[in-house]
Amino acid sequence: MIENRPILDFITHIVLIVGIVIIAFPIWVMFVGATHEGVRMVQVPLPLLPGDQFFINLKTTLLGSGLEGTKTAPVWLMLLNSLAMALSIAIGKIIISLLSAFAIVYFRFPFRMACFWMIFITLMLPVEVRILPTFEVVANLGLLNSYAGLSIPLIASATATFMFRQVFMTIPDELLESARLDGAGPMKFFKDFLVPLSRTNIAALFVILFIYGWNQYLWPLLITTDRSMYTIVMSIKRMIQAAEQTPDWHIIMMTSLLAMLPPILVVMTMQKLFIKGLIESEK
Amino acid sequence: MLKSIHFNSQALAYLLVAPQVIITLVFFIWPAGQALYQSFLIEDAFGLGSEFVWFENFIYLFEDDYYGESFGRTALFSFLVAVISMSFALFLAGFAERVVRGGLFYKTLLIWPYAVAPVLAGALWVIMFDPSLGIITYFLKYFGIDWNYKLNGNQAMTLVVMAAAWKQVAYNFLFFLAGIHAIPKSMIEAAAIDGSGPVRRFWTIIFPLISPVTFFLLVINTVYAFFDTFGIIHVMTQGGPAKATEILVYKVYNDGFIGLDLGGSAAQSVILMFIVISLTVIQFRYIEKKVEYK
Amino acid sequence: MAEVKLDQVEKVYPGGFCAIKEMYLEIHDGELMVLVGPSGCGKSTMLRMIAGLEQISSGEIYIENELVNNKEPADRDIAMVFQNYALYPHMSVYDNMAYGLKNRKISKNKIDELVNEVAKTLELDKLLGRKPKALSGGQRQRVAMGRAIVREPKVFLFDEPLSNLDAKLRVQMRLEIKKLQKKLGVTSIYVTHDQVEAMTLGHRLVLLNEGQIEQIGTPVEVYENPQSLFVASFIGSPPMNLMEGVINDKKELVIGNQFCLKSNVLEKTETDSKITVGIRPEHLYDSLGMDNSFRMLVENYERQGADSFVYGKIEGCEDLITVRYPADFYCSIGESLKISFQSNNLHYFDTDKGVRID
Repeated sequence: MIENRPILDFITHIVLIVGIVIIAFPIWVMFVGATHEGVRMVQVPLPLLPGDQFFINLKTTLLGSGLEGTKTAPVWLMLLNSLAMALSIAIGKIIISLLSAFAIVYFRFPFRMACFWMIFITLMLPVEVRILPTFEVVANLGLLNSYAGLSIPLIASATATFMFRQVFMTIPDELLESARLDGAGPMKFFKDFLVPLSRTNIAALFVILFIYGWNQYLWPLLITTDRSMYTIVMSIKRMIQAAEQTPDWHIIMMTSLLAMLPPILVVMTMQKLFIKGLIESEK
Repeated sequence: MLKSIHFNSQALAYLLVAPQVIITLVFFIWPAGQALYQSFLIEDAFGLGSEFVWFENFIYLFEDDYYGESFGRTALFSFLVAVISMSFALFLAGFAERVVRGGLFYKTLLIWPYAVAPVLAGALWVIMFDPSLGIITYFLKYFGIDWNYKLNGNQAMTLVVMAAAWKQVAYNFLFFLAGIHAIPKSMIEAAAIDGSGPVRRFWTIIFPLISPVTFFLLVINTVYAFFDTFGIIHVMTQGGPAKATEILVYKVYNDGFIGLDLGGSAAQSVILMFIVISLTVIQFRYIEKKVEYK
Repeated sequence: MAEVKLDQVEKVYPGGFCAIKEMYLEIHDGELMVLVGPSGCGKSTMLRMIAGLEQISSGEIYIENELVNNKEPADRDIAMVFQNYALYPHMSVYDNMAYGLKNRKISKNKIDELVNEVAKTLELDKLLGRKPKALSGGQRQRVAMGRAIVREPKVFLFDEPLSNLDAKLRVQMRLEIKKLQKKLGVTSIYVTHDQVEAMTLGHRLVLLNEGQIEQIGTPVEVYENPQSLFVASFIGSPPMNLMEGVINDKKELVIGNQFCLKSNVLEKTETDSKITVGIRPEHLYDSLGMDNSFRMLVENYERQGADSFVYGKIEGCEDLITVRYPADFYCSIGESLKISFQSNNLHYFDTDKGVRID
């Protein structure tokens, strides 16, 4: 332990605490706002300490029919949509990436490298650079306003495939050899060996992908025109815009809080997995 | 790349890659191709016909002042977000590395902004800085600063930069911390015995040794600023006031979906595609060499 | 050049584990003192406490009569060679060696002079521009040493510097370190788990076991006069033969079924007390002319180049005995050999307490 000067430790803790305060401040403001009455929320200055309306606001937001004049769906419905989308994206992506990585690493077939490069290309095509044409395709397939349309276009990108490929590459050949001697065919090998061995990676990736899926904004914005398919993250903007006319800030803040909560909870409780997932998927 | 021991069943292999390949073709390759194609077209005002005009759309963009400004604006935005976000994160990581007990506590509380969607980050900041109700606006007024980002373009830019940087700090923090932890303790101790205090140690030993991480984050932050910040702009300023915060990715949306200029928007998409591709190539080429600590 | 003193130094980790127990140690000016012991005995901890990298729980450490407990490593005027060298990978050899000097605000010319001089001594002068990753293991080790030497410190600290080298290089570097230390005359503290290194390098050795000093002495002293069972079995390769026995009512040490040892040393022992007797393999012979002998049943036999080693047991005693013979000796397994020895080559220890009794 070098420099065991208590003063240095003290400074370190102060700096970190100040850092945390700066980072946490916006969320705190939001939280406080969600705990006051609507009336209080239009008086300047806005409060810095929580009020007592948390559960009342929660009830109104969750079960209400959305903000007046915002043209959004009930909040609980939007939360459900978000959940469906996030889960479909996370689970879908993991499944097809596992399968593709398995094929690319363990099989020899014509066009193998072509497939690999094609998947690689998806890394370079985030949805924001192809919004119009992708929208057209989805529309033509009749997938607008559907869970399928919300998730499928987002599940084929390469990071998960590459990560699994790396994991598979580190699995020793001897394992496959002895499994084969024991009579395991490819799918059995996949099910009984590869998947269990990739468990932690799958979990870590799930955390990252769930957050990615839940936080989608541009894409749901474009392809949902039917209010009942709105996701909660995309509705925030409409709510804020509507605040010009009907400033129900306490509802808006509560909604934002609800929109933020699931990913934050996931990160906090599965911190180790989350960090692992972040670092592994960037390699 | 192929395992030396492998299966030969081709039919099964195709079946396995099929889902990803099909989705990639349908939702990535085909639209990208479409964008490319459309960028060579101009649709007439009624959307009834289109004319193949080769590079006219691109030439128009290069000559268009608005596009040039947007490009410069995006570069500035990206630079500011990367620098601010990375500096703050590095600063915190440098201190966090010293903490033995309670390290988990700090880590947990610093990383969760990653989970916040960019659009929500934007919402948070826009509420804090609202010209009439914002809590920070209130404090600024107290100090005599008149804050109205809806009218002042520079203030608007400052606001979106702060919101975007705020969100990325968590990500950068994690990677910087991992990079610093990877440096062998004995090297730090050797530097301490050699007479370096903590500050000098940081700049002469730690910082040079985490340069791969720094470079990596620079690319990631740039990509983030270019593309993932759509939500922030959309919720905070919608590109305003007077296009002061219209970055490229927002312009694609604005011109395409709102302005319905399909050819121009497609051309912009294509240019953005080139930018991503170059950044990704840089990332793979130059970052793939890792420093060994011996 | 300085002497180093540890006065009642103790190291207790939070949680209660006592790594170093009340240690008193004096290291003379200019000597190379080796701290040797098995893994986990606390030798590295001790070194790091002297360096200032570990906190002392109680006690005082003096370097050149100055109390350094509260001094930062950089202010103790020490230099350390780490096990993995800890060279700065992003700097050239020259910069690695100059780093500490730059920190002390020494003039550029002086730095240049010092670095070049040391580089020449260590035959690194042609490698000054290279980065560590372009050097071999032995070269890196020399750079690590050069970095320490160029600082002209009061004390050199070595933390198992040769463990990462292959056997041949290790022998070579051992000699170089010894030569260098003699030439420079700087007080040095050297940590190793390898007793051969300890025996060949040190002016004096400190044998550590579980945080306690078992013995301090010159290599010869420690070899010929081990003060405890630990020292007896740790120093010497192959290790000393140790045989457990019990004292009978005639004050004889009975080993196994029949072998009895009589000695003046045993006069003060109590009947039925457990005594262990030790004798080194090279002090056991098959020839006549010795004053005592025993019979051993051969269990195994190994020919190792210039020597042969025979392993066997005295009837009724479970301890394995090693005898060293010249290469052309031959015997068969199961054979009963007569082993002779001189009584004054025996070492007696209390079995339970582990200490020497003669």
